[in-house]
Amino acid sequence: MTEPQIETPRDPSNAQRDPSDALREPANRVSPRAVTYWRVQAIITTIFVLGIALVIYFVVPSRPWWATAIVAVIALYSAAEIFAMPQIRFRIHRWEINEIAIHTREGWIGRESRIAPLSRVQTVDSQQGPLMRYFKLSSITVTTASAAGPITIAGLDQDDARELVVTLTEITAATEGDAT
Amino acid sequence: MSLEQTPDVTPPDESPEPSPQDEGWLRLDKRKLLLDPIGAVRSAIFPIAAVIFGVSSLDGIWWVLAAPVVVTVIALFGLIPWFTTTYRITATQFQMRKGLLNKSTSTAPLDRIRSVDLEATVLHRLLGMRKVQIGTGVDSERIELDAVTTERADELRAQLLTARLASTNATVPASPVDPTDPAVLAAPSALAAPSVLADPAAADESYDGPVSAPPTPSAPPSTEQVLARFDWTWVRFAPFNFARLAVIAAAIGVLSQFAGDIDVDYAEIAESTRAALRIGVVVLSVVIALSLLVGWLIISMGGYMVQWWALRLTRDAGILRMSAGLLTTRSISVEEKRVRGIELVEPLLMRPVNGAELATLATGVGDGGTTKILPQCPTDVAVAVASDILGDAHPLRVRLVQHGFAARRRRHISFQWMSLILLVLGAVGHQIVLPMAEAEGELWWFLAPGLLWIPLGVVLAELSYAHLGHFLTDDHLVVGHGATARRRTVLEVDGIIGWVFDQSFFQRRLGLVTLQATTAAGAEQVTLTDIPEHLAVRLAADATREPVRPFLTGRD
Repeated sequence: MTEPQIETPRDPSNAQRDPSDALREPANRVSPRAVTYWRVQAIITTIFVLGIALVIYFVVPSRPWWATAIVAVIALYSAAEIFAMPQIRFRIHRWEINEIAIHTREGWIGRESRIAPLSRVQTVDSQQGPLMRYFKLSSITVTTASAAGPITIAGLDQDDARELVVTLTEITAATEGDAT
Repeated sequence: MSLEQTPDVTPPDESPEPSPQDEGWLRLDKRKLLLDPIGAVRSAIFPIAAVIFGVSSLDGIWWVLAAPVVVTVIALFGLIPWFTTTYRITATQFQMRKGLLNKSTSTAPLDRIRSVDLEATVLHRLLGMRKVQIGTGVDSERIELDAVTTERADELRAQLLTARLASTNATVPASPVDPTDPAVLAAPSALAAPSVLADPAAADESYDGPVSAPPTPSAPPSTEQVLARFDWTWVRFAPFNFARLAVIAAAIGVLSQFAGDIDVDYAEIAESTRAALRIGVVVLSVVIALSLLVGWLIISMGGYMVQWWALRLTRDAGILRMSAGLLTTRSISVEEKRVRGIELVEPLLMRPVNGAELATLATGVGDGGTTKILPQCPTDVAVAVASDILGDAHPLRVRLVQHGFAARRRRHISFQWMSLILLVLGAVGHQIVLPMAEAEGELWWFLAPGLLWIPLGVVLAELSYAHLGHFLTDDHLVVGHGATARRRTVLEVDGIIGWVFDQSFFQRRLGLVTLQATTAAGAEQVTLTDIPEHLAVRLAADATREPVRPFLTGRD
């Protein structure tokens, strides 16, 4: 029981670095139509949020400087979401599956990569809202037994999505156990 | 998700229940007819009292007449659950039906039952009853049988946990269950023949009987191994746990609501004050401090003993069992195979006295997947028990890899946000709120909270960074975290079911990432904050080679 403590470097940031210690880009992009879809979605959100903010701003008689600042920040963020977000998000959002695992990457200001072994997948769902249907897009969500681990591929072409669901279901159905 | 919906995740070979609908249903124990009305009346007493004293426009005599009627009606309502609740154990499932108007049936496939916990309040114990809670792994909701006799509860636990093993073996298709067979294992009515399963041979018989299931692995003779038991001297740690203080503060808050109603004679107070001054402020404050201290010692130690009295942590045939309690007793069983890890917590105040707490991370068991199995106790005991459960002492002893300078700086920045917020709030209060209220005040007083938080934030950030770290042993991912308390979470590598690499804008610039190992056990994820990117990827690739390796750069 009395194992010696194992010495480890105190500051690992200078420890030797293996060039392979990085995740590569997943192979596939989502549908290019997703860019337009995200933009339309951002415009709709902006109309609501900025609309409400402006109504309050102009209806309330006194306009202190900080109220102006808040409205300005909302307007700037909305502009960024409409003009910059869709392309950036499209460039970053990538996905890949193989026989063993699924790997996705998403985000536009931050980055989020997710990897899950398909043997641990519990459900494969696809979603399509009315706006998505118009753009012939569809999203896939793969869940595992952990609430922290759902993996979403947003903005796939609906036919590709259907195929992908079939593939994923086949692979996951082949594995046994209760995936916990 | 409710329990009724669980079948969609059951394997296909668990065909719909073959047994006829109305056979083998058992009622709860008759003593429930005594238990529930008492419980119902007790929980209704405060509302009734409130009505009586609140709406006292009626004459007192009416209340004397009405009160017994109301109490009787409430007690009668308390009888209903006994008549409407029935349960049975079939070849593949545990089923419970309840409800008078909204009837509901809860089912749990036997091979999914992961925990059978017993609980008893003082009233339960007086009547010799136990509340049985049956947990499946899939969701947090549990089937609750309230209540059966103590013997029946032990029997049910043995039966369900062994049946689970048997049924796991039986799910290999070759178990021809005759569809016409009632297939009801469910044993004997609790009153007619108690504890048929008390002896293992009888247990086997009842399985081989009605269901042509393969022979169960004969329940082994008791191989109980005690991992830890309550020790008087542990009570010394209780005063160092301030969680209980919050409860007391809440109680004082409630009491102070009534303080306003007390008639106070201010002249008398003034007289007392002068008297107090004569005695001397020093003596008085010493007395107050001492009585607070003594009060705290009594409350904290008393609470500790009520909760953890007669603690026994045992292992028996692959099942961990913790039982404890002075008044209300709890007995929690967790299948060891389901225990995916542990968390060792050393609160700041308990570090100088070498105290720690221990919880298990398991799937489908306990409160949010964690079950506290050891209260504040000596660190050595907690570490020894944890090593025993993990089957490896290494994860608890290894020194963790720290996350480096950038991570340390981010700890400081995240704690100083609080200072900034407090300073801004102070400034806003002074510049905007005060003029509105037409009051004046010294600016320094408003900035004081924020200024005081700055050094506190520095200390907390340093502590938080000192606790932060990770290590990967052969079978376990070890993660250190916590700001005031030092927490070490150990997760079995087999229990990891995915990875999330999360980077905010600032983390990207610093080459850091917040890595989450997702799991079905415990809080469903273990988070490594601000780990350098290359270490995160290496860690994930080393822990789970197969899924991660293909996605690394420079490999295909």
